[in-house]
Amino acid sequence: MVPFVKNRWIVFIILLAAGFPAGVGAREKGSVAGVLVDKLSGEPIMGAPLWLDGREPVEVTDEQGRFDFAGVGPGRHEIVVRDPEHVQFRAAFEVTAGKTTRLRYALDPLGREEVQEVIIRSERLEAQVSDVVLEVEEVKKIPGTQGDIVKIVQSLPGVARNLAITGASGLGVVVRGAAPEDSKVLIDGHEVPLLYHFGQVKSVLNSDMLKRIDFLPGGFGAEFGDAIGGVIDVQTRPCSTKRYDGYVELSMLDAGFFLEGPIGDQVGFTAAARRSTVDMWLPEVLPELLPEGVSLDLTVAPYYWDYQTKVEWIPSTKNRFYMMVIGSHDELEFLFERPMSSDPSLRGDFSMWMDFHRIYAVWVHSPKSSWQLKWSVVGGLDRAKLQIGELRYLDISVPNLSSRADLEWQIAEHWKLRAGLSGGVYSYQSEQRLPRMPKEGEVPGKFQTLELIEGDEQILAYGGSAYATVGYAPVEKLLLTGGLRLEAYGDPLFEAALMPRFSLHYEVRPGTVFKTGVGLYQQIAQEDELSETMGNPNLKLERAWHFTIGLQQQMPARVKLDVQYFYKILDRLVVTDKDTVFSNQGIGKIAGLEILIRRELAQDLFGWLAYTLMQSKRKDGPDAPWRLFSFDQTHILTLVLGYSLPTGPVKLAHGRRDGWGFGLRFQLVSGNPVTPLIGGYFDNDYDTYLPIPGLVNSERLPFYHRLDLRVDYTWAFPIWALTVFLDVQNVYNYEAVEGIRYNYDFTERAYIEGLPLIPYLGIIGSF
Amino acid sequence: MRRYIFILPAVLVFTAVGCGGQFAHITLVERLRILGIRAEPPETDIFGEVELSALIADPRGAGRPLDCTWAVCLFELGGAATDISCPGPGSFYLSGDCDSATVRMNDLVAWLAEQGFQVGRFDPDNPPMRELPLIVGLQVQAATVPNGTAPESGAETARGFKRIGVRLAATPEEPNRNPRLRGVSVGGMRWEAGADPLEIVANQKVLVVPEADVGTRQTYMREDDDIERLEDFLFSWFCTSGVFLHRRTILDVDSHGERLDTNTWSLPASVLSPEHTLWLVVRDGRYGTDWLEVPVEILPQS
Repeated sequence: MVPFVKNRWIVFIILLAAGFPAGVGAREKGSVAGVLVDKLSGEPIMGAPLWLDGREPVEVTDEQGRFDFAGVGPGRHEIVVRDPEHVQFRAAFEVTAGKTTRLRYALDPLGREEVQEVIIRSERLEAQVSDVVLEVEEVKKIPGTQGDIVKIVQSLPGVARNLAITGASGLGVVVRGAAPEDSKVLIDGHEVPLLYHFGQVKSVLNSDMLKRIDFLPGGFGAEFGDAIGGVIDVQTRPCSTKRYDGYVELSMLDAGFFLEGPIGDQVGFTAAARRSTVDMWLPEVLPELLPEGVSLDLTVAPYYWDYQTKVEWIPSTKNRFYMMVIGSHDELEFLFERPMSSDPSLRGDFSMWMDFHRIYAVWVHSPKSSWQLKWSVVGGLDRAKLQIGELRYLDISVPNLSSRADLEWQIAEHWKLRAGLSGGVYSYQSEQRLPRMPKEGEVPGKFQTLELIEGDEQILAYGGSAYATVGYAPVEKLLLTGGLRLEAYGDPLFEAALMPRFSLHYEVRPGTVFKTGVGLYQQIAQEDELSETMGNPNLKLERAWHFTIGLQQQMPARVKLDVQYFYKILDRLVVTDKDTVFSNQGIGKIAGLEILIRRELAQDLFGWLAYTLMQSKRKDGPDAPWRLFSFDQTHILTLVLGYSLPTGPVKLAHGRRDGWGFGLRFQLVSGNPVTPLIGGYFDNDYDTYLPIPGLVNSERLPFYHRLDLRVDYTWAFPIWALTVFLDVQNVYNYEAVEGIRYNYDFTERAYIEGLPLIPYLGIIGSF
Repeated sequence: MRRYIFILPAVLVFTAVGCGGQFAHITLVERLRILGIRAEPPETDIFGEVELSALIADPRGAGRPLDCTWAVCLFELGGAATDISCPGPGSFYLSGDCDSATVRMNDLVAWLAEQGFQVGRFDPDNPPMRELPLIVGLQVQAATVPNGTAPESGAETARGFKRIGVRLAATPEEPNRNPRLRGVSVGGMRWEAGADPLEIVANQKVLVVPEADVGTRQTYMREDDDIERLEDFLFSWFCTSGVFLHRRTILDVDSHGERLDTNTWSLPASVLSPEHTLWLVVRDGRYGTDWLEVPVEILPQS
């Protein structure tokens, strides 16, 4: 297997807007600090003259390639570099009042008529506790991510470990003690149903399509709604209008391609697609893994595909348009020749697939440096199908249309406004014949024994929202923000919610920032909970208050320390109800402390240490006792380190050099709470036993820990480079406990063990 | 709002509950267990009577006395597991013992009315459904353990239940009947009820073949469609020594034309006592049940 990766230097930014409502800067001036490096050698460019907006005086980079401009007015600016040894460089960027915009440019040396595309993200307007800038090449060297930068979200503070085998959080991400379905995934500002393929082996987007991920674990701004957990806002990067680039890759996991380039002077395109290759070899291996007597014909092994295509037109500096189509598909199919129980209908096909498709039309209008409007319209189709034997099925189809407009406006010297409108309509069509699914905290009954509920529903749902956030900076070191969001749901709820959000941001002394915030968040119940046939259509919005307080300290050696305390109060949570199927009787509380110590890439060393101490509890009704949330993980400790050790000179053709690369990831996480099963009833008619549950989540699985290592070596040849890497997961072969399994009548039990040591050897050819 | 997608992995976990190896195989009976509960008839009307019996295995019991309690219970099996406590508080207890018990529907309806439950659902002129499943629970407790000392509470207790179809309206369909087993073939030797114990040599794998009375295999239609279906006969296998390859088999053939009702019995290399039992239970997927209890003598290898 020789996967190919393209040779490109992309700055990738993950913003940990961890815990604060949106704010907007409003100070008089901002500043710019940056560095110029040679694209091929990576060495700093010393003595290069720079012009800011074409004006004098000229700034010249120092021996480290650094430059800075102080007292720069807010808004968009242009920088020009005319270094005698490099191609002339020109780029636009944005400056925010009271902020330092950090830039990093890689310039092509003369003799190679290409301008390196660099994606720069200026500091985010919102007040934040921390931000983390990660480069793609860094993240790809972190063991266990398979080069997928979206997967790094799982190593960030506040994110619970997903159980590898039992799939505790399924397709979602457990953020700060919230249920997976309480967090929202957005791509370019619009919701998509999932971020990862089955088993979270890969994200649904090619990493090279991305500009950044805003990971908002709580206390997010008024521009986001309908989520009481967190928000993962994935944003695609602009298309190149200067050069063609691309690659094809093939591995045991998937095969795909990436291509980008210009179409004329003002139009660029980006295209990528992937298809998993697991189904090509797993059916051959699986029979060897199954115990004797188990007949499982894997007619379609788990497989997925995804695609992304973006075409962007930039007619002027004031306008930018793009169209984008993205989609994802996951499928799995088994054939059970023998019945799974004495219910003969639990035999035959067991299939599951889901997909989503989106088409985007986006216009970004920036007529003046003081304001910008972004308007997007997105149409889509989501589908999910499930077939279990002859009688049980679920078929969901959701065509949808949404639109949002976001405005940023510098109103006055100390005031800035961010406001927007959004609306959407979708048709939820479902046919199902399934038992009612248990809720979080409930022990599933025996699937085959449960009453099947048949339904054929079609709901035309619509809703809209409006938000506004005002930022006010009365003095130099203080920033106050206040936001308000109005959500209105039409059919089937006819309910509205007003959600205030506030934050305070104070620079105690240079390098030390204190921040605090509070906000109200609400979300609509899930579709099956609102179903006429399977749920209760009269459910109210679930609600949460987020409180956050934190301190950010810049330290020597490019190390940054972030400490945050968060507290959430949840109410009107949907729980099972004897009379109404579901009701809003649930409440919850979550408290935690997050510590992040991160060293940005410097002298070939980068990494972070993240620790979360947390407790998440639920109460399923007025008379129910408090219990632990099913994804409660008291301690989450993650250490990520990467180091590069070059051993040779840079090759001009592709910019790579001989050298070693090392990566390490270590996780130490509390085990999840579990409900013990204390016995079973024999169900004669289904020839099975029904479990008798003990106290809900009254036990906890043992601690989990795992060490992943990666080492690679690159041979840089004149026109191409060869990298061989070894990625070893679970280096010391720790038998992690992923769950508890029971014997047939639930009188004996044993631990479900996690994945063993997995070495993964790979070869990458790049050009 | 589009979070419905989370239902899919939930179903995966849901269907996998109870799976797992490294335990004593379910086909090996080592302690007190209920292997089957039969209602005769398996389906009744609201004026009928139903005779209940149970297949109780107690291989360690050496014939010790067992206490059996029968009761009709009112509970719904939701998506979440719960302690159904049947028999338990609020149950309608039936007179009977470990050999049999009787459900008299008239008595039951009167009791339901006293409890304030929806007796109206039993109105035959206005049935909300064609059949109502009635749940009958059985608790079996060992009075003594083999060495004669009293058991610890719950240590030798087995609990189970079954559903009885209650017809709420007259339909042209034939009522469900229990399936019947005629015999079983073990290693080529046929056995039927009342026959002498089979003699089998230890440390081998033998083919076992069920013999059902196909005349008791009925056709039926489900409530929600008009498709005429033939009952599926499913066979569950148990023994006191060795294990069966498949927990259950089905009267059908696979995609290659191979029979799916046969099974393989792996006999142990040696046994302490030659006297053992093989149980074969057949179910029709509609609450109909029958069984055979086959005495087996396992002989040492010569």
